[in-house]
Amino acid sequence: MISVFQIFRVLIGLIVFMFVISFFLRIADMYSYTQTMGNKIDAVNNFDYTAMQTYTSGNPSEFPGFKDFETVVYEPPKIKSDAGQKTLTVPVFFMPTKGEVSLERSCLDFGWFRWCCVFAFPKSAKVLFTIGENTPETRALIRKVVENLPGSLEFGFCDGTDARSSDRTQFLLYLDGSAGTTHRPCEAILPDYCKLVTINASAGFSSRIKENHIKINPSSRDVYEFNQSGFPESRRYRDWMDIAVFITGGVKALDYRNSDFSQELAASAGIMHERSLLVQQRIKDYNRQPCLECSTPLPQACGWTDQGGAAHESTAYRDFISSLQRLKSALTSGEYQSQLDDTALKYDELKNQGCES
Amino acid sequence: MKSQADVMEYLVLVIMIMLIAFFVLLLVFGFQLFTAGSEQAVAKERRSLFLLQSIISSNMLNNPQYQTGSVFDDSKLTVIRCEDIEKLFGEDAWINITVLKDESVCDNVAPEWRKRNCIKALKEEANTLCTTNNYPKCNVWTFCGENKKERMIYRSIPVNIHRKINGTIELGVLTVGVPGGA
Repeated sequence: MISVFQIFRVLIGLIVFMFVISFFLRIADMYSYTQTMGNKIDAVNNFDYTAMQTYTSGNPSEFPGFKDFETVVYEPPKIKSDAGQKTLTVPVFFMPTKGEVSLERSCLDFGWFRWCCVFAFPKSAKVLFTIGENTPETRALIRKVVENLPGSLEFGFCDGTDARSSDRTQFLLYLDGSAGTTHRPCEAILPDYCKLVTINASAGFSSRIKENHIKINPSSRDVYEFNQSGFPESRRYRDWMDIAVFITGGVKALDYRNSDFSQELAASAGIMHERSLLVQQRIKDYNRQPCLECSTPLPQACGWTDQGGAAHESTAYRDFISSLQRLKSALTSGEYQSQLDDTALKYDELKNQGCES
Repeated sequence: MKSQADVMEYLVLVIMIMLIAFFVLLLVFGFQLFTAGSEQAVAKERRSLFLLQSIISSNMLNNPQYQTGSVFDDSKLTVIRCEDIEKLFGEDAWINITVLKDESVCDNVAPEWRKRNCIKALKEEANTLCTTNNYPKCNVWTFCGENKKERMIYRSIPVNIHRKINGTIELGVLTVGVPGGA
């Protein structure tokens, strides 16, 4: 006969067993969630670190991808995923993917100022061009954009339903040989991670493709993309870098590029302005009292010029300083491109005179 | 009495099981916390390395002639301020660049009066913090000195410094510090 105690023992044993099992299951679940989340946070941090390495070294690199992620969205400079959101340390333009990513640095160089960013594309990504009016300027613009996007991308043309792509070198050869060729509006079925770029198209030139389709109008320097409602959203572009950025991330990426670029430019213009004033002053001082220990001193023309036997203050640095001053004023209005080009020109003059290396 | 003793024995067993479970949990989550701590240390190490790499490759501090970086322009170093450093490279960093010089650099200077001038100039410049007033007769640049704390991760590397006015390239040491460390 089973005693009351034995029944009690069995019941207690069952309750404890159930409790312990549910407790461990819950802990195991929590542990696995923490572990998965930790791995995802690590993946995002590693992506940031890979971008930082590419940015500082200039060497292209690869990132294995966000394999276990449910969502990966990039709203520059933030990467949003199921692991939360993280602001990337360096300017990155990323076409989101869960697969392998190729990263490559591109820079805009104005002599005294250089701005760099990292382009991050899915390894299998393609960029297809449809050219409405094929002019040398259009081809030069395409060449500049293609040369500065990651070399792992495939580039090609879309003509009606015919879409073909190849590696960068091959594409650039096709591009050179495409003088005079015009394309019909693209109607091909585009694969994943493919961007269609329609360039220099006339008013009647229209394609039904709206998703991942951008348009460039070099005469008005406008770029368009279709927003989620299917309406075109446009921005003005300044240079090839704007187009490369627009291809990667559309309007949001271009807005981020402009804000980051102008912030860095403003800081750099301030530094360069003060530095040029300092150098101008010291060159004058040293020209008055020649430096005996100097190995290769700056040419005297950087400080003083000899005009009819009398020493006159050189305009070399003065022109560059005035140009920087105008750039600083133009930066507040946002219309600074021509002034920036002018500073680059003045800096080139300084280099030609041997005042800058 | 025996039944009571059996129940007690049973309860003790249950408590023991619970204690073991508790210790297992402590071990597991302790390991998690340890991993999180080491990840934080890795993040700080990465930050210091990135800061170092950014500084030596920055166009705003280096001579643009040397695209690979690591050749600082002394006139740029003299005018740049802590606010600029924070804008360009992030906050909390401490940076120091010191030109390494000893009297042996004057060994090959001739004639004797020039050599004396050279040694005199070296002594004047030794450990002199660069400002716009004493430039270029100085050899130390320090940025964001107020950020320097005891607990920092420091990294140092040899760098070149292009002396803008006299056109020479000198050897120096770049040291960066970021918060963290043991």
